[in-house]
Amino acid sequence: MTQPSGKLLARAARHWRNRALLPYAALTLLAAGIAWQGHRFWQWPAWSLAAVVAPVVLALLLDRRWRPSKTEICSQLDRHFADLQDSSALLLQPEEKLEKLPQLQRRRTAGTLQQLLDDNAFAAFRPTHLRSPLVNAAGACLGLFLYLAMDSLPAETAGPTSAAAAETTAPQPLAVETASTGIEPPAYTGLAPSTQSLQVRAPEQSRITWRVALNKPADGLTMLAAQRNFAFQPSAPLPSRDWQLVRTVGETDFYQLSVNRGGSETLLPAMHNIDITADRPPEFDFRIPRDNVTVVSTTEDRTLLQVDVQVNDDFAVADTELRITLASGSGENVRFREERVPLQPAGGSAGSLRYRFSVPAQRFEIEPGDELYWFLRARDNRAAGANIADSQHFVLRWPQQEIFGLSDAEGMAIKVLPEYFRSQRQLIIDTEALLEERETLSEADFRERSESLAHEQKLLRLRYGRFLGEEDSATEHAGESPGSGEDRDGHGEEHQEENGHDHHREEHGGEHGGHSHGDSHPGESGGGQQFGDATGVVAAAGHSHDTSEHATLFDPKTKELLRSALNAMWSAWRDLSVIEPRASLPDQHRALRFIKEVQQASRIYLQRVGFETPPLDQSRRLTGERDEVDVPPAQGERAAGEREQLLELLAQVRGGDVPDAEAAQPLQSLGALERDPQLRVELSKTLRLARQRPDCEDCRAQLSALLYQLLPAPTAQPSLPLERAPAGSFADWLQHSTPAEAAHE
Amino acid sequence: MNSWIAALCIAVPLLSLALIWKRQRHSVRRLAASALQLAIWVLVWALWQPPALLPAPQRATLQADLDAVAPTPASASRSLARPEVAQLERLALDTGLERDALRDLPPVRLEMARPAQTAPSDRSARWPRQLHLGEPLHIAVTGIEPGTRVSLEDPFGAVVDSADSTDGGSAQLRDTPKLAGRWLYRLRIDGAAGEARQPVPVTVHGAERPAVLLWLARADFESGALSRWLRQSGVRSQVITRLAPDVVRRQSYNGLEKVPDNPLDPDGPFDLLILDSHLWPQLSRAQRARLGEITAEKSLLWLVGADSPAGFLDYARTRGMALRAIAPVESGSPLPQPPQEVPPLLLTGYQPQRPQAGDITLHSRAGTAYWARSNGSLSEGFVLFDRSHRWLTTGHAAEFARLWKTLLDRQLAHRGGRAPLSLQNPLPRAGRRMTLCSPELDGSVQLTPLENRSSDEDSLNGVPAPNNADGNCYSYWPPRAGWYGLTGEGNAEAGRAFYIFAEQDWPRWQAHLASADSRQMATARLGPPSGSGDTRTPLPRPWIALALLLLLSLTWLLERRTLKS
Repeated sequence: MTQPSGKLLARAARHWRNRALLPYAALTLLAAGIAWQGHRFWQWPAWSLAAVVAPVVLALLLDRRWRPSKTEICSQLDRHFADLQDSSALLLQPEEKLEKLPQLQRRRTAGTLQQLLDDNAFAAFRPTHLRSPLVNAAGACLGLFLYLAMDSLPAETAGPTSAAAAETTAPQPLAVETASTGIEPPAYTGLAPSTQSLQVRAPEQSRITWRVALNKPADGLTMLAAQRNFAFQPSAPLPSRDWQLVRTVGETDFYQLSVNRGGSETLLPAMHNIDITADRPPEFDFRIPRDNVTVVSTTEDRTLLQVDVQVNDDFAVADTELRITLASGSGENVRFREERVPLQPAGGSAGSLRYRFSVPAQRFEIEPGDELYWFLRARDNRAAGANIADSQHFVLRWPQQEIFGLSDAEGMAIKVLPEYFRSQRQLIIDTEALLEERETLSEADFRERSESLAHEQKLLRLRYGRFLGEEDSATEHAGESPGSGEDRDGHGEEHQEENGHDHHREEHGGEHGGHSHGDSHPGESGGGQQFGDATGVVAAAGHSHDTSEHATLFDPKTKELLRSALNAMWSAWRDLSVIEPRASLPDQHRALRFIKEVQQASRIYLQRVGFETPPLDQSRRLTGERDEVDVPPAQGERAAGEREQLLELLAQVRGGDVPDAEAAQPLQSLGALERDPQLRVELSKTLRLARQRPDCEDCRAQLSALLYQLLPAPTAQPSLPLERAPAGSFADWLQHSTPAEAAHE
Repeated sequence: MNSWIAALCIAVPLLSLALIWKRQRHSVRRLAASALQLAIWVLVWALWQPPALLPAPQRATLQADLDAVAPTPASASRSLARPEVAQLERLALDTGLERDALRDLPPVRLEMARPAQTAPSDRSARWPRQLHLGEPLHIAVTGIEPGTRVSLEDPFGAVVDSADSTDGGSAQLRDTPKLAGRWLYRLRIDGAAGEARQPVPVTVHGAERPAVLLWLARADFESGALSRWLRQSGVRSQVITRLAPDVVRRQSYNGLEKVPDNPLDPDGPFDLLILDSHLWPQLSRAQRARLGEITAEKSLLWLVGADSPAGFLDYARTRGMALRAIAPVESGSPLPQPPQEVPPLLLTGYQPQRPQAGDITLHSRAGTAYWARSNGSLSEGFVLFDRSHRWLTTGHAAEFARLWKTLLDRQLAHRGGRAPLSLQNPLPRAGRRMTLCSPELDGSVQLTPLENRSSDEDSLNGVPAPNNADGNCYSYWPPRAGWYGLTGEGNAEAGRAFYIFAEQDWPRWQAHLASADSRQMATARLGPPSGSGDTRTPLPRPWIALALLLLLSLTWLLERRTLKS
């Protein structure tokens, strides 16, 4: 059955359109593919893809051939198919409006068209492929491809003739083609050899091999280091491109290369650093002990002698030894004994050893009052001279006994322990024991023992008070026993004690003259003096002063300590007297501490103050024979120091000149440069750069900055003011001048 | 012109009214037409002379026309010169303006838009602009956010000191310039807003050293240290020491020659005479009489030792500077911020009995270490301490030098050669007024750029400004940033150099100064009383023109109907 004419025409139009668009699709695919390849492989820009598609799209829009109207389709049908007898236009008209003959022709045309469609006779039913828009679009894509291809071509492939022309006009400069350095650290470091560039970083004393290949043969190659020059050795017959140099470098340095070619020296401008890492000495990390001074109460106390330390080195610790110095005696009778004890590590690696040991105090006959100083000395495994490091110093101190047996033995540790005198330490022990037993004691016993302790404390205080010029209480208390008279002890002793305390308070700077003769005599207090007791005669009839040497033997600081100890003892006695032993303990401990400091003070010989000039005896000055004395007038000039040298150099540099090597030689002896090798190398580099580039302003500025940094700051000097102060208060002028000084004023 | 317009506006309406009365018969229409004509001509006249019928704005805030930070006085003056500003009752400033910018302000009440407590933090810096070589540069900065890192860079870019700002927003930095000359330090403030480097200009003068006589009754360590310091400082000096009753040693340092035998000779070359108080018995009557003249012509400094002679104490009493005896006592350094480990000085046993107002003293912890009376006609002082030589042996040579330098500066304060010259602006900027004052300044002094001077750049002449306590004042307007010197009164290179800051330097300090100026002007400026005078503004002309257009359109409509009919 024949399809309606509209459908037939639509089918024909569809045939026409599909075949008309085929070239556009092919062109689009081809152009996009080429653009993508170019972007991926030939660094074409990303917009090239859109750029090649755009002309195709534009052509598609401008081309009307692929979308004809129905009338045009009919005319194309008539042109392509003769069987349609040029009657295709009848298919556009409704059949009912035609007359019989056109109707008939219409039907015939429709049937023929359907037959043609069914027979697939529309293969050639399309516009020509080479129509103008399509060709123009293809041309535009081609042009774009050519532009992109030309733009991405590298310059040197512009042509062999231009490269040769460039070479003939400008010769290739002399340069290093390849270079490497072989670093062999010293064997003791255990580090592996390595390879680096011309910039070298190595441990000290490393053996460094330079291998340099030049781009042209040369007759010689020299390394210009900071202070010396080193000649390379050729690896091939002269003139050679390959050169080699071996150096053992111990200090940070820098260098340049200078090439000798055809009798002329060419300095390669690049500067290369040689950074040397120095082998540092070992370091100590003490875990025990924490404090530098340790007071050891008894030699049986081993815990205070323990030491736990870690010794670290950047490579390896070779050995560590303990150095001990024992100081015995006191005053001017101090004896020293030294010993060295090699230590064995308790663990760790070569670069970090741990030592745990006990200070061998048992080797020495330690006596109370002795001191033991010790430190560690470690050595690392540095080959050419080991680094030796000493640790901090520690002090072990055995406290002295508090008893002074004889009055003329002040300052010396006497080991006599009279039975009737308790030491402060013993008093503390007894007080603590009393407190522990309080629950088991009766009230009366507790009271009696507390009073006994108070009595002992008082005696001890009076005993020590002799050294400050207080009265000797030994005779006045002979025959008394603890607890013999509570009231007498309480009142009479108190009265005497107050006088003694006042007497004590009147002491002034070691002067014995402050002593008041109006104070109580021991005999007047109504103490228990027995008839016939010769020991009390002197005390009763006379006034036994201590000699001035006793009162003034100690320096003022020691006397202050002793006075503080006496005050603490007095407070302890007071609390013990009122049966408060617990309250007296802090004061007893305080007194003990002060006494110990007094005892140790005799060994403190250092005084860190500036030079204290001895007082001049004016009465003896200028009393010699002066007849022939003739003092000629003297002239003096200010001594030029480092500052003047640097000022001269700095002025030279800022004026545009760079000092030569001879003028800059004094710089090497500057203290700041000796302490800082990096700074020294930096200065040498900057000097050399400034000499090599006389027109380089930045080089001179950098050199100026470095010299300014090295310049010592000037000290304050007398000077006349730039402007005289204005009329009015000078304080007002100060207010305007310097804020710091004005604030101080 | 006004009279012609007035005549026109009177004659033409009268003619119109006449024509209306003649043409219109109906009374209502006659009245309406007359009113319309009168209204038209009134509007014509109002267009020429707008009447002030609108109430003036009471208050305006001046901000929109001005630059954000530092408007130039010219631009600010232009903004302030607008007529509407004069109509205001109050003018509020959002940001401060300099005094120069406020000079052209009409008589209105001035106030700050933001109260003081909400104003930007007061950034300011203080440092001595002129130093002698060897003196430290102290710079104190305020108005920094707490915890901000502040660094001082030397003229070559190296950081020489740094500190974190305190909770109060201040920081103090210090350095000792190493060379004489004009130097530009930089203060770097690492804040949240980014790094800011501001210039800190300093002129370092090489010391003009005085000639000093040191006359000692005996040699001791203190005088030896002082003598050594004088020699090492390059000071031309002579040290006379009595070694024995008839044995005197004379040492001349640094090229001092031709010294008369009598050290107190009036023709002697010395600027400063340092005498030992124990020298008093050895002085002749003539020499003692000469001492008063020395204090007037030169400067006299006594080293007061322990057990000074009674004659010397009497002399001090006659000079009005009586000393009272005390027990020698150790004391700390009288200098600010001394190192902790400096050994104590010893006050030698004398203290001022009755110091007067205006006397110069240096106090230490235990008493007065130095007492002087120094003004234009008198310069006499007493050194009351000893044992400063111990500072040398304990490694504090710099402190020793600083101590004696501080002392001698006060002693010689009035011996300077030039009259004082003060810069009235803490922050002189390019294009702004800079005022210099000095007792000896006159109109012949010019301000000359010292660096990068172009061939056509002239020196600047000063404009007289109101004098003040500092002397005669002249104002200059340097056109660009950089160093400037004075010419005409001496060599410009001799040290009278000033640094002119650029517009963008120290912006917050500029804002602070402008704010301070504006606040001062606001408190001093009362303005016209409230409600007095005409505070109305004229009608805007566009309104009048619009109304006239409407009336004319109405007239045309009416006439058109008439024409049609």
